Amino acid sequence: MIDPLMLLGAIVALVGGIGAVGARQLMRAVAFLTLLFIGLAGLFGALGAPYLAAAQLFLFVGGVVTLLALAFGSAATPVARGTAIVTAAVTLLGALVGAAVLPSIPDAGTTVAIADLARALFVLYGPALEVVLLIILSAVIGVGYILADDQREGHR
Amino acid sequence: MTIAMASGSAVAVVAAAGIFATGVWGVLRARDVLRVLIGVMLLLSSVTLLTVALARAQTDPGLAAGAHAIVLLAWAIEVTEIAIAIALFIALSRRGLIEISRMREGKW
Repeated sequence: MIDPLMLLGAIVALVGGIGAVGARQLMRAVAFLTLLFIGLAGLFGALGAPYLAAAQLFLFVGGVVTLLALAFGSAATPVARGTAIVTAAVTLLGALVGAAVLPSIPDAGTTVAIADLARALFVLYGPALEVVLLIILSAVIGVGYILADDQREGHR
Repeated sequence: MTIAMASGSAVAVVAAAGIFATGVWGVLRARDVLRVLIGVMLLLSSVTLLTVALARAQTDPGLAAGAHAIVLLAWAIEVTEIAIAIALFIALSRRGLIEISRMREGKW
């Protein structure tokens, strides 16, 4: 028996993925990407990982898609910039509402306890987590360097 | 695949395969940096989906929790990569070098 939430999530994710790659306009591609991430969140919920689904919505729909829309808006024409800001605001709102609603879906039963996940993340993969945190720190410094260097080039 | 189907997550495995194929198509046909990034995001999303789908088939809760922890670590790396790619996109767009064929014109 196929779980209807899983089937719906798979269809939404596939439509979103194909749309993101096939869309001619970049802004539409970002909107389809939002659909992909919402579908993936539904799939994670159906697979018994509601916290991963909520994290998917917060991180990717609320963070990455908003960042992509704003980055595209900063590089586009003033008309497209307005569309980008509206898309970013709607996406952020959708992410917050989705993340609030998803864990309360009755069928999304948890197969992994949060305590087991915390033990795996901080004990079993503790050294890997520290390496990842170092990578994030170096990336933050690198992004600051790229943008500061770009601004210096612009002033010359 | 058999294990995943037995656990009822076959739909997720098929969806992961479809998203991966779409991501490969997207990377190959991309002409600007942001579209390459979107294709790579599709590839990474399919791999995380497959990991969670296969974790569901595990009877040991410790192993399943380990798989979910790996997904969280992979997401941290993915988001970092996206932040760097967006910074590069902004820097390249200011110099008019967003198209991949024109990137060689940029100075080191």
